[in-house]
Amino acid sequence: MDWTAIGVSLRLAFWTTVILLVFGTPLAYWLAFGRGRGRSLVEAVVALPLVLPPTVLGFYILMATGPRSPIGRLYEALTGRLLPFSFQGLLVASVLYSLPFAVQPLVTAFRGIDRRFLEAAWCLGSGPLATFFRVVVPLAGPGFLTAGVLSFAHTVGEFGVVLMVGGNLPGVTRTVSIAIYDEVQALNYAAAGQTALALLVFSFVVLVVVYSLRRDVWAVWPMKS
Amino acid sequence: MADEVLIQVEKRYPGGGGVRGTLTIPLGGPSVTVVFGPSGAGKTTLLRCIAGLERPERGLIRFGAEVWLDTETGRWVPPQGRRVGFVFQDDVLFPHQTVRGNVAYGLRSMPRSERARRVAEILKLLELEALADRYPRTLSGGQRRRVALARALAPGPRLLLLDEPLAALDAPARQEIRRLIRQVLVRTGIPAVLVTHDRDEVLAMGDRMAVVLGGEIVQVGTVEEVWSRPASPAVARALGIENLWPGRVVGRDGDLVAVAVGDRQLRAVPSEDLQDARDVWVVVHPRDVVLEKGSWLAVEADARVSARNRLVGRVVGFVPEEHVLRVWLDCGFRLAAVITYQAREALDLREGDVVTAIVKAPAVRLIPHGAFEGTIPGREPSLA
Repeated sequence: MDWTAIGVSLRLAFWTTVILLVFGTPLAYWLAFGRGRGRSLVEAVVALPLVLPPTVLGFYILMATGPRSPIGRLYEALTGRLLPFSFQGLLVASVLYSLPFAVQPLVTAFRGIDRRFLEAAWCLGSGPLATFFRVVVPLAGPGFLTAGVLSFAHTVGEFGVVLMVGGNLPGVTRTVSIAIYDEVQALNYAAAGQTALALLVFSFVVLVVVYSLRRDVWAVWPMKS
Repeated sequence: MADEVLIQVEKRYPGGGGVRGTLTIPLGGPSVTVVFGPSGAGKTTLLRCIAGLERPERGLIRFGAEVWLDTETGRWVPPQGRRVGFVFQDDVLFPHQTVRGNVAYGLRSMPRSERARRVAEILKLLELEALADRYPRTLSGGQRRRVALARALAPGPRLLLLDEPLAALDAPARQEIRRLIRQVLVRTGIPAVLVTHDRDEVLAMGDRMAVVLGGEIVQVGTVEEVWSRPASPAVARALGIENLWPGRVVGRDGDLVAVAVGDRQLRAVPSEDLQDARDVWVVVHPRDVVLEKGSWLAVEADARVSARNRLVGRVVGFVPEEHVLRVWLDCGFRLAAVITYQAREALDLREGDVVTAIVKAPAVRLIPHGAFEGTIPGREPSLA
């Protein structure tokens, strides 16, 4: 079993989930309660990774973060390193790729909250931030769980985007799914089988846990409005 | 005047509906201003404007000297800054919090010990001590309403807004909540605005009233003023005006209650919610009035008639209705009776005739009123 690859996958999934929950929550809140225009545009962008082939997404991320792009140049100027084929670059790609899996359950959960709960809190003197943490978060609890678990599991399972953006550097960007692919290419079926089984069991357990906690998990797709 | 809330708003929703008009609410003591009107008239919108949950396109809302809304200057105080208690129509209790947690929600800024003391005080006031650790989904409708009241009162609001507080409750719960609301308002001295479409609720709870029809505040005044002098036929229709007079319980007559109306006295069967009330509204449906020509004072009282109430008056007018005739009498106050055309012919009734109106005691309905008149027992300024 390729423990290094498993370590990279878990590290990547963990940070992707953290970043998605931190940035996905305000985005989902705006999509659920916001009044501004352009919401359907943003919703469509968020959902794009669901329909795009991972290679297409990976290609654009590669172009956008490459040393010739403004983002790539900025990152290089700040850190002295390149984004593509690094763990950080892979993280950026992962976050974008798993975005709908975090945002959509949160939007669904937020939209399910009766607006009058917020109004009741406001009339009791609660400001927007206090209302969010004392009313919205507890009432949307299952949504946060779904968002977290799905982001994590989806990141562990990604392949195409990783291959495009991360390449195949052991201990840096070589994730479980890439490792399995390599073993098969090398006709090393026993090692591939072990790692594949581990991934299969992991994914299955995660889904069993999520389904037992929450029935409407596939509210994720298609998107509920 | 500084000691009042002035509300001048114009709020229109894109899809139609909204409310427009002017309303003042007296401050500095318990009073209930009832906002009355049919469903969809804009009552709740008005309440939401006062709370700051709706932002009118145009208007001025002033609480004493504080300006909450002025669209001329762009001034706007959000709900958090108004310190107003809002009781929603279906309670909207936080489902993830116990009764205690719900009541404590608005007390975040208090020190812990003071908060616990305050919560205990409010739970006692609303008779909720036994339910403190229950969750809202395990409570009955009446219990939930009490928690909603407690939650709104806990932070010591300066004004209490109640949206249909007796709606969707069964009769016993309704009586209980009505009693509690009165009791709590008297004890705390908080002025209240209460929205209802129920006429009896206006009479039972209101000191002042505003009539809202089709998105307009069409009349504001004391309950008695509005009822005795409706501003328009539309208001009178909305109020369902029939025979309704202010009265005072003056004594008992066996199982019956003696009520003074003007300089006359009526006998009535006491209703369950009458208890010790002295000031009452007296309601008699025009169909329950029987007319006899002449004055019974001129002849001997007829022992064969069981009815307790005989009022001598003069016919002042006829209003024809479908199949029946509404006869207006002057008995010192105005009294309407509905009779058939045949009856009119048989009695040969004309304007100016002296008649005796006969009403059975069970047909005289008494609605207690005047919760805030006279003494205010057990007033606790700490709750204000």
